[in-house]
Amino acid sequence: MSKLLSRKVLVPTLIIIGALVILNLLPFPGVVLPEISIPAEPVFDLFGFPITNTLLASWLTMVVLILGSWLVTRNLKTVPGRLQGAFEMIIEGMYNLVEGAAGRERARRFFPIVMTIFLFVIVSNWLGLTPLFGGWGVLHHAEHGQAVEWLNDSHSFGLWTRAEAEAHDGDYYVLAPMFRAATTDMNVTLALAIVSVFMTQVYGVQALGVGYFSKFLALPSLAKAFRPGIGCGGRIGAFGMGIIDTFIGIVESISEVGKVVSFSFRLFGNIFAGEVLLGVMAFLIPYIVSLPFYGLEIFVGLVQALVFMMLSVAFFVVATSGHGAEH
Amino acid sequence: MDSESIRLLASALAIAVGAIAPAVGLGMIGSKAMEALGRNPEAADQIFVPLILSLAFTEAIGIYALVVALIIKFV
Repeated sequence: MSKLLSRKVLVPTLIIIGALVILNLLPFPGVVLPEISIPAEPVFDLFGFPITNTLLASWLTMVVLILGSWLVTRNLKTVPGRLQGAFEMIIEGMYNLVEGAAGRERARRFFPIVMTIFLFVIVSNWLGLTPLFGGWGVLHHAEHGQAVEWLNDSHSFGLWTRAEAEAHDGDYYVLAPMFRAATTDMNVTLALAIVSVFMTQVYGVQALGVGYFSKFLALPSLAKAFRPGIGCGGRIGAFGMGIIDTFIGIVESISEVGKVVSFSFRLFGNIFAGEVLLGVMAFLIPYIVSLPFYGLEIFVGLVQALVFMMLSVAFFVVATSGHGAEH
Repeated sequence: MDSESIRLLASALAIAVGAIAPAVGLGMIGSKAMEALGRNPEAADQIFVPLILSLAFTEAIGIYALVVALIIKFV
């Protein structure tokens, strides 16, 4: 009992209860259920080319990454300072992870691209959780029962919470946020997935030569049946193996496409669902209840970036190892 | 039932039914990983990467259901 009443427990509890009471008394604006739209909303026009909020966000991600790497590598020292030390720790940890999965030689080759993917995904995931994202942007004024025409409706610029105050019966405001996390756009995740799967083929050809493609088109295996100097029974057996390998090749080709789909859907689904979850939770019970989910989303952002990276490494390793059938 | 209510039902069912199997799978992966850790705590580093990969593959199925539900609801 005395433990329960100790200052360590009592003070935070009182602070939380006080905050809850004050938050309920203060005339905060109500939280509006955000308009959920899977395609990214265009926010402005650049010479007839619609610029979507996720495109802006991915530019912002790049700026953050470029500025960050410039700041960190500006004056490298043999004995690292605090900033350099922290980043060396991160890079070294990730490098060890890749090395554990791919081995010494291949880790050196794979690391730059998978780390770039990791950094891009994690920075854009975590940027999407900052207050800069989602809450403000172009407000579209629309009538009920009428689809919003992005860039064509009368629109103004401002905070999301203003919308409810100004809406009347029969019309409403829809917000196109100025920034929306880049990974909540299927195009971004699809591009990353295509880069990863394309590089899988490149590394496969680099390691195994043209023979890499025999995984998909089992010509060498079929050709074995027409080798001279094997008996009739051996010929039939080899031909049977060739047919089986051909079908395995078809399955392999489909799984290559499946990789793109699963890469892009996994990342998009996780991050987009996270944004929807945060929006809905904040709408149901404003301000406090969405905080644990916020922590969850930080974790999910890290895990998804890690998963994208480690899956890429695993596929690269499979592609460069050659397959058991050829000895 | 009009088509709008069928859409709502379909999207709810898509995620509700689609989340069952991945949930079971994730639980099995987690329990096996914990079991392995209990038997051999030094193997934590070697278990980590395969654990993350298999979690990702299993979770992806749930995410497919989620994407389908979102598409039914909003597109």
